[in-house]
Amino acid sequence: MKQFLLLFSLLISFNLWAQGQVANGPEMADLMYQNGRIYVVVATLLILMIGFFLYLWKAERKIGELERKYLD
Amino acid sequence: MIGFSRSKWWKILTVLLLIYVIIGAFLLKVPALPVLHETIRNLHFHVPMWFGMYLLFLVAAIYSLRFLWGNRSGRGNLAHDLYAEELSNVGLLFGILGLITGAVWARYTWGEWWSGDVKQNMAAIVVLLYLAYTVLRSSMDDPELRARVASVWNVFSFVAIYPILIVIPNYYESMHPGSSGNEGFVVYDKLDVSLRFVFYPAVIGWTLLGLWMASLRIRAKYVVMKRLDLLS
Repeated sequence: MKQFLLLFSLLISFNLWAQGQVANGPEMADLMYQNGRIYVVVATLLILMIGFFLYLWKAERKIGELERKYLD
Repeated sequence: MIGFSRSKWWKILTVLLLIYVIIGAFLLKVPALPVLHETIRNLHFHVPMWFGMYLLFLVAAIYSLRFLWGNRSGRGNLAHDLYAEELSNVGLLFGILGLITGAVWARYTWGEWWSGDVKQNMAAIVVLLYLAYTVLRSSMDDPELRARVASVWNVFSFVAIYPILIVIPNYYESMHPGSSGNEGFVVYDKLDVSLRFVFYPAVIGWTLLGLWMASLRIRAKYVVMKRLDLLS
């Protein structure tokens, strides 16, 4: 659960990051707007992969518990 | 295998490698090639599926051989058969994903999802060989018998991959890189070495991810088999 909260807050922070760009205003963190906004795709894929890794890690721990309970 | 499955260092390596691969694959400069354009970046995602499949099948075949070897004198170790089964399952998944991603890539470069290219057809045959392996397994209830028959099939399948996927396509015209009339990797080498800095880590990273997925199922089933007294 903690990991998913972390992931969620990460998602929200990306949103805030994007708001740094204001029309005609000072150009702030505009990395996400460069190169045809390819960084947005990179961010999406990274979030997906991190989500999958967290899932694997949790499965890892659950199986570890089973092993401690039934094998050791 | 079980000890290696439980250790953590290579899982951390997997995560780091794949994060590097995703960033590198999208953001590093790639050679401007005709037809391929930006799709050359698929090199870091589609191709490692096949390399990963082959490596997973290789380890699976080694465990099938070890099972058969142990089976000569008395009982083979059913744990070896379990490793072979689960590694083959993930290898099969990689192969199916390779076929699908290949079809998507082909649609936008060769013009059709499936053009009956020799490389596509042969890849499909390899996938069918391993689908047959899972069907064969599910047709038998006796673990000993199943392990024996499946191990033989598994070794046969692995030996068949190289001639089917590498040798045969070389005798035919193919649009796929690496076949006759198409230089494959050599083309990329001449143009840009930077592809290799992502491609090789990608092969290792995706393969390790497959190993991780297989190891989880292996460990879960290992507990059950141990409780059922199937393992010595």
